[in-house]
Amino acid sequence: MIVESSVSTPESDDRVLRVEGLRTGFPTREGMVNALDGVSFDLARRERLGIVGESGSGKSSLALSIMGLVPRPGRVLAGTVTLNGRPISRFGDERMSRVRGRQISIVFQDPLTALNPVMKVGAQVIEALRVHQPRLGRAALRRRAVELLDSVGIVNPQRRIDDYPHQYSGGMRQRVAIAMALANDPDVLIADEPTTALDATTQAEIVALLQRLADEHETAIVLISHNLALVSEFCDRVLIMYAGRVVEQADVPDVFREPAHPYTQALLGAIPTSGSSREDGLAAIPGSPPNLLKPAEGCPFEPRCALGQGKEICRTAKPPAVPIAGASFAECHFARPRHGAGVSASPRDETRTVGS
Amino acid sequence: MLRLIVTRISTAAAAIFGASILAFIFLRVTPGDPARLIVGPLASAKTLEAQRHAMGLDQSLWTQYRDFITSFIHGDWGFSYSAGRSVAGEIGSRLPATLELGLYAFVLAFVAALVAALLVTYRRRKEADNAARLFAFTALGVPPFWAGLLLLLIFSEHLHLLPGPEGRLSLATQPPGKITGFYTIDALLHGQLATFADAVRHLILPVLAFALVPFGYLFRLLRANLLEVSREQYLLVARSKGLTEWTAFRRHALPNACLPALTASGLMLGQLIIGSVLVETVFNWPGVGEYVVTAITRQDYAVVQTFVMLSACAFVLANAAVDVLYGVIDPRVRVSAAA
Repeated sequence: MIVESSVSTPESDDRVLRVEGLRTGFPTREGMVNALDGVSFDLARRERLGIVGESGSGKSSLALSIMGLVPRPGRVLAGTVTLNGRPISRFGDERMSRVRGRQISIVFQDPLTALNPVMKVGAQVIEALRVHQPRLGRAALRRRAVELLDSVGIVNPQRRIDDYPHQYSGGMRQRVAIAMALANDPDVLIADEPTTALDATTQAEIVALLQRLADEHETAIVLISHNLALVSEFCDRVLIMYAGRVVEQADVPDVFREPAHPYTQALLGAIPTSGSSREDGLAAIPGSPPNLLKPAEGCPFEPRCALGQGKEICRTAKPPAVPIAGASFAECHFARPRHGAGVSASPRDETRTVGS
Repeated sequence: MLRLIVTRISTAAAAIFGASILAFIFLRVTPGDPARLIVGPLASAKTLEAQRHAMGLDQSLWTQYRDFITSFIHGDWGFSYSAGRSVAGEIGSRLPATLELGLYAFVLAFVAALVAALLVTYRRRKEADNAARLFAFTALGVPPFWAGLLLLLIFSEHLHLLPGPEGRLSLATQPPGKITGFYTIDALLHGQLATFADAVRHLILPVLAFALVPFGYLFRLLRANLLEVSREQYLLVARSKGLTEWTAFRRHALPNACLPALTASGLMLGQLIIGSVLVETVFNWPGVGEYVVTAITRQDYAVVQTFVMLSACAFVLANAAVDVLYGVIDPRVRVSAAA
């Protein structure tokens, strides 16, 4: 365990969120499903971090684990989440509820189910405000809610505030969800596939909205997506997740130019481009994500890997985090540092290989 | 909203009309001449004819139906030969006993079902859940009159904790002056605490026996609804806004899970307020159910007709009330009814 190893957390720390060795499991009849298997990363103030991976790679479990909202009987087994220097992963529900929505918020994938169908939209926005600002009066709360709806682009908010969710479209409901998440000016916003359930035009609008609001509120954003293109537009840095682990961390321009991990390369290869002909078909990564019940002895990606398949070292040894450049790394036996890049300057090196 | 109420009231009127036709026709196609039952087997043809005329049985069916409806609406529900007084008078004096039993049983069933469903679904307590499910299942399967007998045997016969089947009050206790007809409420209004205590002691066992089935039904319904709602994303969203787990559950899961139970409650309340014949018989409860059974065996058709009409009204009104309430609570219903 690395829990208290991060001695250097002075007030001037630029890191708003720090996740160390996070492990989350869901007990099943067959045993513990390890949704997260030792995830660590830092998030700087105002940073935009992308998290990319296939379904089942642990992206959403990561979001819920950070928020302290892992559905029972699942639970965080090990690791710490530090927000503004406070170890929120050790907070109970009561104490954590004062952090949620105020310092850290989340927007979920499906806006159609995110709002209570029998409660007015305004009441739900007001609820988000009132729980953290109990002293605000009714009129003030309503005024703030109208402002919030207006800021996320709801037309005619004075009237629409009294509508029910079914009178809103999917895109509008996602705007409301964003308004609720940003109601108390949190330092961190986790957006868990916020555009996946929406059509393409609405997707673009929601992304633009997130971008604008993040700038205005100076909010750091963790954007979870399976869409590499979206992440490349939006984020500064990206984590690639596979089988509950971060297998590559890289700055956004690099990850497209020179992906270091074979999984990242395969993900990039799976993006359909306008140049590819119909006869080629859609490229896919062969095989399916690994069984999280029985963690692989070696590299979890080995059975599907074009590079390592069958190689002795890949089957038997867990790949170390190989520093690539700066803070970037890849968990692959064959990854090599990029030439001419300063590697040792990375503050993360010492914490990297622990936690598994 | 107004439109919803108007729609519901006209549906209710149509349902009562249908019930009235059934009540009217059934009694006239069943074998046995009610006039003959009254005058006796030895009466002359002339006497019989006169009795038939007095009861309007020589009129056309249409006239008979019209008279039946007009007098029903005017509260003139005919004369009960088995009771020797007017149907309205007899039912009027027995209805409060039935209502008191039915309403308390309903409230108990609903509250108990809600509390039990909450306990087992909030944070999913597995053992408690299994126990409660077994109990609810048993409650549904046990005939209420049998449960009543069992309760009497245990709490009255063996433990001597509660009175036996002696009706609403002990022999020594005078009924309180009538205000609502509910002995518990009337006794409190008159400040007669001893009478109140006696009435409560007499209510406990029949209410328990009567509440078992609705409890089992409502518990299963509420439990299933709560489990479903507690998986809803909006509950997670509510918690992510900063509500504690319990507050989110109370504000967002509980009301939404209770909505479908409302509909079921409407049906059940209708059932409970017209009473349970067998439970009333077991406890010697001077209610409507007991009276109607006697009337049926004696072909006292004025009583049966009135009873059918009254139960139809009870069902329809309870359901209409639930529908309107539903519309008040759930905005989606309002929209679809107005569309």
